[in-house]
Amino acid sequence: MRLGFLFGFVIVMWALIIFGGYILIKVVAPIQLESGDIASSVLKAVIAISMVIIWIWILVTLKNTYTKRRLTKTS
Amino acid sequence: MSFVPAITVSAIAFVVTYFLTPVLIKYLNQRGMVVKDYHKPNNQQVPRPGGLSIIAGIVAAEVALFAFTMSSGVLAILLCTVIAFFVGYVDDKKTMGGYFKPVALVGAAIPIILLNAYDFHLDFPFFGSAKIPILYIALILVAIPIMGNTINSIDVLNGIVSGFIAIASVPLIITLFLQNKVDIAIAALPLLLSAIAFYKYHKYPSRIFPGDSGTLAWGAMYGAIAIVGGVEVVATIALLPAVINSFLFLASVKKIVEHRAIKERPTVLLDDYRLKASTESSAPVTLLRLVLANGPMREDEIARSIFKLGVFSAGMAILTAVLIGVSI
Repeated sequence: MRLGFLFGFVIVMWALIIFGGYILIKVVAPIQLESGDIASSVLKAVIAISMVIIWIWILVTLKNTYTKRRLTKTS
Repeated sequence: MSFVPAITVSAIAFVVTYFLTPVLIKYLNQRGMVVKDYHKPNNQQVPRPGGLSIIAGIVAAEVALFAFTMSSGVLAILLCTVIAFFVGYVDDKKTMGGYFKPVALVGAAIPIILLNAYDFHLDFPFFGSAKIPILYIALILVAIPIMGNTINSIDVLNGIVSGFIAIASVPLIITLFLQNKVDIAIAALPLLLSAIAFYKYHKYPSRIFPGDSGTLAWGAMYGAIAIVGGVEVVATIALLPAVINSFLFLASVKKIVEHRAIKERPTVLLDDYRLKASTESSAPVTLLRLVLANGPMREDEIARSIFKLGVFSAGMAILTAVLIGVSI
């Protein structure tokens, strides 16, 4: 299938958006540390940034694997 | 009750863009405002920018809708689109640096904030919504430049951006109507209708290019509708092929830079004017290059492939809207 990889890429991104929503609403939002609001906000921001980094890492790995296999000179 | 404004607004956007574009083609040709179409034989020149007929259709329709509704949401969408058009027009007239468009487009987001035309809840399927009052304002300022540049970056071959924006706007309009956000749904119709009208002249072989003024206006309008209508997640999913294109490009070159500034091209033009993917490891990875991974294609075949991806993403977006709680 000519566009198979790109359809797969769309599905992976969709799944990451849905899963990100779950983490954001069910895990990150309820966090409330005893040490106060600022500490809670910092922790939430760190988790959110970490999620974005993992998200980008997954997509870059996917892209690099496919690109090396299909688009780069083998000679 | 919303039938009359919806038909009126749609007709205005379509008719103005459809009939103004040939006049603009003639005018731009007479003034020598043309650019080379690199994928055609005989040094073919194409008039640009077509953004003028696109914005005329959108403004005429949105002003009429604002007169019907006096909605601050409609006004915010209109102002955001017009500012983005002018940012693009500056870039059409005088080629600016890579950072100009993202930075200048922040200004297009300001009317949405000043008119308080947003809701700071992000709705996700299955799990409800996230309330992010302060962060949401920052997201608005980032989202409009991203949407504008994302649509701008998919303007790579004849007819792609106009066809793609028409496809991507459909799930947005359906979701807004189903969520009973009628004013904003009607405000989104000029996006679809101006794109369809312009596609007639932009499809392969192009008789006019939209230019940055056209693509940034469409992109910013799309982002403004998503924010004002509160359908950000659905809008993002419908736009995924364009998001993938921007992501792949940025992940390859690792900086914000204009496509024209890249030395190694992602595709190679063959003698028969088909395109094939570059095999150079230093060439940026783009959606176009991945579409061509299985062999050379004609320009119109590539456009059809990208439209298939657009239709697939639009389907995923409608599915997401259903999962959020909308019933079809």
